[in-house]
Amino acid sequence: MDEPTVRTGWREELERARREALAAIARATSTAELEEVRVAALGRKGAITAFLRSLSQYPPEERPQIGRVANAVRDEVEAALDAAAERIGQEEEARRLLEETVDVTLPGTPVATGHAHPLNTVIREIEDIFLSMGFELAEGPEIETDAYNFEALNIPKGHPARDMQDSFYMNEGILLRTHTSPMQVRFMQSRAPDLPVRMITVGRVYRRDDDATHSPMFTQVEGLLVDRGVHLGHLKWTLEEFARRVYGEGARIRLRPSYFPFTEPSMEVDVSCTICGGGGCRTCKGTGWLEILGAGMVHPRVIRNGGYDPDEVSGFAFGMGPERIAMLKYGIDDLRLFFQNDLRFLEQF
Amino acid sequence: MRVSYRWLQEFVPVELPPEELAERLTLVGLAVEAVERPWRHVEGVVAGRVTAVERHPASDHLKVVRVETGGAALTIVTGAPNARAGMLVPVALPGARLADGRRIAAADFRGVVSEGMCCSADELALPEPPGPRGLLELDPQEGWRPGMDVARALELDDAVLEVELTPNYAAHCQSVLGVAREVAALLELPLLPAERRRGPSQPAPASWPADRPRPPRVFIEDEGCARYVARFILDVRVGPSPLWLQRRLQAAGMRPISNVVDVTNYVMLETGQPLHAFDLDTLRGGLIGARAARPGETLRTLDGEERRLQEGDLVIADAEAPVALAGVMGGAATEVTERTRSILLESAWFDPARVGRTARRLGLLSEASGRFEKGVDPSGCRWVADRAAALIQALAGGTVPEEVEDAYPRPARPRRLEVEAARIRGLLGVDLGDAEIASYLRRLHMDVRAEGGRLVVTVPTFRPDVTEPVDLVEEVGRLYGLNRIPSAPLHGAPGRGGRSARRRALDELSRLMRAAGFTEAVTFTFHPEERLARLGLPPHDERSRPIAVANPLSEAQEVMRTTMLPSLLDVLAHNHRVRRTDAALFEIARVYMGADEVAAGRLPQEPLRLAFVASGRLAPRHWREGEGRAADFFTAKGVVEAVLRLFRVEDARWERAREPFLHPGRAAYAAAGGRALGWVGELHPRVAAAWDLEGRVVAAELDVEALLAAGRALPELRPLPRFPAVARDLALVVDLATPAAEVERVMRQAGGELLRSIELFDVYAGERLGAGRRSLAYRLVYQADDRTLTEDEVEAVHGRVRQALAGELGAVLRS
Repeated sequence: MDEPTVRTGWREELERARREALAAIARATSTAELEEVRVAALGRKGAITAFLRSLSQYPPEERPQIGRVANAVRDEVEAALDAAAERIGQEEEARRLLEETVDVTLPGTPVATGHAHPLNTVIREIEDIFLSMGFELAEGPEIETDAYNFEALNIPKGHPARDMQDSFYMNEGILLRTHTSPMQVRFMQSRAPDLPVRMITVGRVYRRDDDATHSPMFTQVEGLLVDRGVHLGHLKWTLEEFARRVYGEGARIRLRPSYFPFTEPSMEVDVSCTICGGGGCRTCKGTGWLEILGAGMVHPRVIRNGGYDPDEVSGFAFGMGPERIAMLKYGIDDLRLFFQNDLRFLEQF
Repeated sequence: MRVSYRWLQEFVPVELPPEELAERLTLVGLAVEAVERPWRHVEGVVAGRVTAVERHPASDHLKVVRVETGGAALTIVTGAPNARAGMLVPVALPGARLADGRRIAAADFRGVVSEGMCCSADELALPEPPGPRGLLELDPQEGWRPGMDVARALELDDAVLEVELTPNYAAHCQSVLGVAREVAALLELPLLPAERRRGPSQPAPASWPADRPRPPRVFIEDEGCARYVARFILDVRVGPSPLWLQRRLQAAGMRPISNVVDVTNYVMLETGQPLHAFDLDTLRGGLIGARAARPGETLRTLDGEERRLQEGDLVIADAEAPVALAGVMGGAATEVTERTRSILLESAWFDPARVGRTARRLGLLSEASGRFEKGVDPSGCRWVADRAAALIQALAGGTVPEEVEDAYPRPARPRRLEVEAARIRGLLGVDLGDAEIASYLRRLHMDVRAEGGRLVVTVPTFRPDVTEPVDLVEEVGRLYGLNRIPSAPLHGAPGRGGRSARRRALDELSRLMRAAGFTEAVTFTFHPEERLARLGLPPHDERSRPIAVANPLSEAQEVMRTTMLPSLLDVLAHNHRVRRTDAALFEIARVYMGADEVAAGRLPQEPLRLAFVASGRLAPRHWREGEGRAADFFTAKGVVEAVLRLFRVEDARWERAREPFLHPGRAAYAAAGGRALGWVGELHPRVAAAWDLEGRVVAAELDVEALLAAGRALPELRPLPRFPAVARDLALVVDLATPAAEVERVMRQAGGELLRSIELFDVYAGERLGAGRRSLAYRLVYQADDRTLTEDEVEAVHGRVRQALAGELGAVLRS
């Protein structure tokens, strides 16, 4: 072959291959086109590959220089191919994502979830507060003996308090409990003589009353603490703490002397009105206070019935109606809504 | 109890605004529910004398009267039929206001200008006298003179405190005096002497007229009467009471009747001691007293009813027969009437329980019986009788001889209590000195003597509620002020605290049910017996024998539920009525089993249940998901299966349920470890119809205690697999009668330890297979813990499974 021809043409030949490859890379718009360019330039039969394979045709003293230039061209084309692949990949991804676009305002696939009953929600909240103060949850029978429901709680036959809570009877000695207070004695009996006694119990109770403000079945939460040296100040602190946790730091309480046969002194407990904060409004009937629970120091006879010596220990007890607390909390105005279980009501909680 | 503030001020010099007093009383234990001022608007009304009555020139029913009110004579138009010359009437002058707030101005009535208005009792919110409506007549004998201000004379600026008495204060606060004692103790004020009260306290002295029969002697033949005082008022004139007294009775919520009867009520309201007036001349045999009713005796009471008396009734009798039901109601024969001339006034103490029983039986609860029932003070009978006799004399005239019968065989002695001052301090949590404690008790009219650290307290007889030392703690606490007691954080060891594992499981269960789309219900635990009948349970079924409520208010409380189903179906029916047919509800609550136990005087079982009901769609219709998930047997069973997983019940068995209230082909029992867990299924269409429910209704009821017992407390952990699993699909055709559970059992038995999971992914029944056949397609996964299974091993075990299916069940294998 005619060496000078070859010798004078290699630079131009390489430059042409380089130019053609770079131009094709710039023109490519898809991964497939780019692959064609790669095969044409750097594939087994590609222009640059072919040039490199033909290096042996050149005089040995020139081969290193020609090889250096040719390798540089190959590296440049490879780099351009990589950069283009990155660019085209991004473009293609963007196109694909664009095609997958949906109307995000369409509703999602439904996960049908039910609703908690507001009464149970409030009960759990109350339980949690007292559980965190070291009170223990207890359960007791709803069908109860007259002995536990009345006698053990210092309510003998003929006591006016038996009028106050007209009862549903099964027979002479067995009735539907009228309050959760029988659990005071039952729980003490299950613990005596251990101290302290810290109980919280929640349950259904029953009274013969049925109108807009009374339900024949409703729920109560009862608390009991018996230990050495327990006094009214401890009761007051416990109830203040409860009020703060339910109604917020600013909540205050007020004690009004009242009467329960199983506590003495007994009191009704008001919390500063949650609506007006104490200034007076419709909810609190202008008084600034809402009655939320009854409480007192456990009567010595009840402590004795529980198996403890009232000269050694003392205690306090309190009871409240979750219905009332839920009504105030959610602004519910009709007690009957709790037991009607209308889904249009329950689904709001 | 309703207390007139003006009346109260005759007993204690209280000057606080009534609302403020109400607040203070409430904080000391006398809950004042309301402060009322029914007369507050009345002003500018004066007494006026009618000097002339003429016909109105242009009206048949109107009259024109001339009225003198001290100044210039007025011309007033009135429609009252009783207007007559000479009478004194209340006159609203121009600018005056009536009780309803109306302002009076001079006005033209058909050509005659009326310079004010003559008033009826009603227009001043005063009690209407009996007879036809008309002008209120003011009696000059009561001191009325023309020009007197009616509002001032009748204390129309008065306020009435409505006091809600708790049982412990009921006895000593059921009177103006009792409330006054509380006010005095609260505000550290003295009680005013009797002279400050309206009307005399002691009758004018007189002796028994020689020409009159001697007064009857008093006997007590029954312990139900502890004291019986009789005072006599001779030659009274029965007539209406003065207006001031009528108004006070009205303020207290009582109706005026006649001066004698009104005084007995007035003094009762004042002192708390009920009184009864007999017509003295109707009493026979010179005897009166208390005894037990005798068999067969009857008494015609004041209301005209003939009452059959019972053993245990305490009666007042003369020498011949009962004349009154003690403390409950007087007899008609001895009633004070307009013709009555002489009175026997009874002031007595009767047993609270006896009075209460008789009054309740006869439905004769009254102000008097209520007071006896709460307990009156026997020490007060005599002075109260004197006060009432004096007031009758002042209003109705007559003589009150000094002869008084007072039978009081065992005079009440004040109770003595001993209490350690340290105990009072210890329970109240306040460091009160002994002297301070004593001072609170003395303010309550208790006598206190300190003996070392002990206080010896003498309790007055008007405090029957103070019977034990802890009562004194309460008295000191409320006078000191409960709200002044400093609060003290809890100390000492906490209780066991926290939720039990059982409670946590129940909370989890509730959360799971909600996550599954069910809303929590809280239902009544009783229902009409008829609801149970709808289920068609056989008589031997325990659930068909509910515990009955002996005294339901209505059928709604007839029986305690033995199954949750009726309560929840009632709820579902309510929601269907309001067109919520896509409904899913659950409740975790109790049922009540054991009518026999209750009959035997023992407490029944109250097992806890999870129950749910659903109808319509469990998941809603959706643009992408199609028609939604309908409530049917399998959706319901899926929920139960999720519950079983939650409780880690791993060996549950399913079988067809036979419950008369369920679809016979679409209901199942679940059991584990030989114990029934409950049922799930579609409601029988007849039962659904009984509740007016349309479409498929699913329900389930599970025994929560059984679930807790059947489940593992902790999961059984297996190490993560180290060797690959091999899956093989298997399709087979079996008889429709072959349960899937049986197919699975055969596969497990044949597959042994290496068969790790069975997934049923297709069920097909169709013509292609022939009648009574179905195809089941499974994916079986094989795996070993200690090696990679070889192809040969897998083929061997899978072959055994196929053989077993064919051999034991006659299954035709399709792949």
